[in-house]
Amino acid sequence: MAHVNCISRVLLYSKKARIMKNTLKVERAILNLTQGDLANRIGVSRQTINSIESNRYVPSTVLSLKLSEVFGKPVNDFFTLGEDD
Amino acid sequence: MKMKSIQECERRRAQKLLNYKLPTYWKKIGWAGAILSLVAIMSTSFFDGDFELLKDILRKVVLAFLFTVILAREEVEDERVQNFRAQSFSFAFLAGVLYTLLQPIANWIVFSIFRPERAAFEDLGDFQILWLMLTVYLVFFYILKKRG
Repeated sequence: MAHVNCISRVLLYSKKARIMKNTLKVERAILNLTQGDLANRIGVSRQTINSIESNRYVPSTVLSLKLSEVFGKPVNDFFTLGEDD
Repeated sequence: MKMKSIQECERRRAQKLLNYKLPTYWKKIGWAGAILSLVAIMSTSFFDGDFELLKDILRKVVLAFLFTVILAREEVEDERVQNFRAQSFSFAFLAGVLYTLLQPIANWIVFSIFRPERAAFEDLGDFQILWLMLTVYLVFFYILKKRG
């Protein structure tokens, strides 16, 4: 199983994924939404929301704008670049 | 202007073709068909007779069923899944090219050491290469989906 872990780590934890930070969890809590609710609203899977929240996946511009629409805030308010960039 | 609209039309058609996916239930059909075909290939060794033609046909059937698994839509086919598909395709392509280039050399080296009379450069069959590419794609895709 160790090699599977290693492969997925190499594939998923790219530099790009690490430099983005987000406060999706906080925004979701403010609106009292579960990951599933938010996923349904923007038409993605719950796993996608989970991956974004844990900085494993950087969403596209379209998805970010959909999130911005749900939260009623500009994208910059909940997505920020990390110190590495 | 006319040229632009033709280009746009071509681009849309290509995109439509690239985005084409089979319904989700094809995944189950694909797995069932591929496993049954593999079992049938293996079971031919328990019987006497010439099954080469049947084996050849069954190998193609296995590849076709695995291909339907790849083409089948996920329950939620969002951008993250499409991203994983793209990554898995590129890994499968790299694996296919490397295997095709290196496997004959590896074979030649091994045979040269252990059985020099049989040492020769032999090209790989289409089944071997496609089997490798399809399995690499599926393995990477499922790892990414599970861990991502």
